[in-house]
Order: sequence, then C-alpha cells, then structure tokens
Amino acid sequence: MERIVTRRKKIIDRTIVDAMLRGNIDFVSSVPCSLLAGVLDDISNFSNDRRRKLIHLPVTREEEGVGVCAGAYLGGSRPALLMQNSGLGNSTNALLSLTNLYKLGLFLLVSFRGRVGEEDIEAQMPMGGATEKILSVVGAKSRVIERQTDVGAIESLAKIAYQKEQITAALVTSALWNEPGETQ
Amino acid sequence: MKSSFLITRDVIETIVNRLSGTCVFISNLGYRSRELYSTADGPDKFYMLGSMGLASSIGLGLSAVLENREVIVFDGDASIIMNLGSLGSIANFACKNLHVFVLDNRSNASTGGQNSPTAMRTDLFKIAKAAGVDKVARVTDKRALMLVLNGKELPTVVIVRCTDSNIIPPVIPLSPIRIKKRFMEYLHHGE
Repeated sequence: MERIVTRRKKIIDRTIVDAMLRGNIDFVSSVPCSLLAGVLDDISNFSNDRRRKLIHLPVTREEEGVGVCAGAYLGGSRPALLMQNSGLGNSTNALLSLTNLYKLGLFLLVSFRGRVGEEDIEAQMPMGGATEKILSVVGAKSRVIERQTDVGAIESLAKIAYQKEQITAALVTSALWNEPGETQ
Repeated sequence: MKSSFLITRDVIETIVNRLSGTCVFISNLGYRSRELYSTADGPDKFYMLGSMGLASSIGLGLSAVLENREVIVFDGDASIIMNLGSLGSIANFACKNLHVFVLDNRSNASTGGQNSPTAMRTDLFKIAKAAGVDKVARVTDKRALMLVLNGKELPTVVIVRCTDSNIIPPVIPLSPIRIKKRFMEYLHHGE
C-alpha cells in the first residue's frame, strides 16, 4: 500500500517537473521544502544528465535565490525558484527592488503551507494567510495548484514570466499529492 | 594613517583597467556602483541599484550560465555580511569564472559611515575560507592588488582593505531598464 502511495506521489512530482520543462525553464534555484522534496530530487537528477540542459543551483535562503535567478536571467537563462511560502517573506525586498525594478523574468514554484483548514502546524498559519497578498504586492501573476488537472498551468505561468519579463507563481498545496482522497 | 590604505575608487579603476574586455562587472548598490559608473561606464557593467546584499548572488547565477566569460563582482564588507550564505554557495557551486572583490572599508559608507562588523572583530578572509572557498586572497596595498590581478588565475574571493575617497561619486543617471537592456545586448550580441 505504501509503495502505491509513493509511486503516485512520484508521478505527480514528475508531472510538475515536466510542466516546468515544457515552460522552457532551464535553470532552477531552490531552498528545500518537504512537500517539494520529490520535485527537487527529479530536478537534481535531471541537472546531472548532460543530455538535458538544466542547471540546478541550491541556495541557503530565498532572497539569495532571487539574486542567483536574476544573474541567470541576465545571462540568457529562464530561471525558476523553488521555495516554501515562508520564503516569500524572506525575499520580498529582492523581488521588488531587483526582479521587478529591472523587469526580469522569474517563475516561482511555491509550496503553500498554513492554509485555512490546515491548522496542524500553527506556526505556518501567519505566512499562509499572507502568501497571496505578498504575491499580489510584488505584482506576481499566480495560481493555486491543488488538483492534478491544474498542473498544466505551470507551463503557461513559466512562459508568461519570460515573455512579459515579470514574476509568476504556482502555489502548490498538499491536497495535490493527496488527491483523490487516498489518505483522508 | 588612513591615507596609507587603498582608496575604493582607485581599486575599482585598477581592476577595471586590467580586466576590461574579457570580463563583465556587477557592482553593489551605493558608492561602489557610482564609482564604477564614473570611472568607466559601459554596457559590460550591471549596476545593482537595490537588493542590498545580493551582488555576489547575481554574479553566481550569471557565472553559472555564462561559461566563456569571467564575471567580476564589486561587493562591500557590510553587504556580503548580510548574505553570508552566498559564500557557502560560491564555495560549493561556483564555476572558475566568478571573482568577488570585497571592498572592505570597515563601514557602511553610503549610509553615513557607521562601523561595520569588520571594524570590530569580524574577519571576512577567515569567513570565506571557513565557508569552503578554496581561493581567497587578502589585499592591503597596491603591490598586492597587482600581484593578484597579474596572477595566472584570479582568486574566487579577494578581500581588499581600503578606505573611501573624499569625493562623493555622482548618482547614476541611467534607468534600471536601460542598464539591463544594454547589459543583455552586450552579453548576447557582443560589443
């Protein structure tokens, strides 16, 4: 049973990464999140495969990742930054005074913790409530991804980021991996 | 005593004169960008006007995707201390084409000259070493700077002890979008 759940999770992880690659992302910076651990494994494996032109550069803090992605964009790459939503707080100044100031393309894959109805970790609730407001403040076009049928939107969000030179974000929720009611 | 130190503006001028043509330059906000602009403005310079602390990170991202160009970063002591994780990332992931010059004036010069941690007990050379950066150099005079610049291979991190010039550098009149556009055109279409 556990193996079936793991396989299902892996398929969803892979669907997310495939949508990112279809969105022309070729550079990923990241700060780890348990929800995105499988996605990060896939990205790391892909970046070690020379046939795929994908660079993975893990960083220590989300703001640092915004800087690294800005450099990659200037260098002609199409960068994405993976993080938990708490990282949006750590990187707001950089998203405004670097990414937006220079109009740089950046796609954010953000795990959406601390939503209403997910009160099991109280410490995640404050940023959960602020997440969509912060994205709105930094002018990001964003979408909540909570069903497998939503994952395709990642491709178009990434493409918009580079075409319009702006920030776009996909907020992925834990419900995505639990669908269809496997564990509840 | 102070006059025996290198002057920030002279350090920038010396480095740019020696390395122009084969390198691109990224500068920290405030006086370092303004000095770089007034010394040798050009499309091969990216002036970071906001996002304090991130100059070395921009350099890291740029150097990772530009295999055949050297990337020079002019950072400051207080600003790299805001983003110390960057030294770890540079130690672990930087390619050979990234070179961060930390102009250590031991102060927050652009905001009124307040003491920075390096004016007290903090030693950035040791921090960079301990972060795992292999090639770190410490420079305190012109001779040492020239030795570094004329060496076979530039170090990854160079801590340059210096002091600010008496002249306040002029404000950069270029818009951020203009700075970006000409920098990207220079990188991707040459000249």
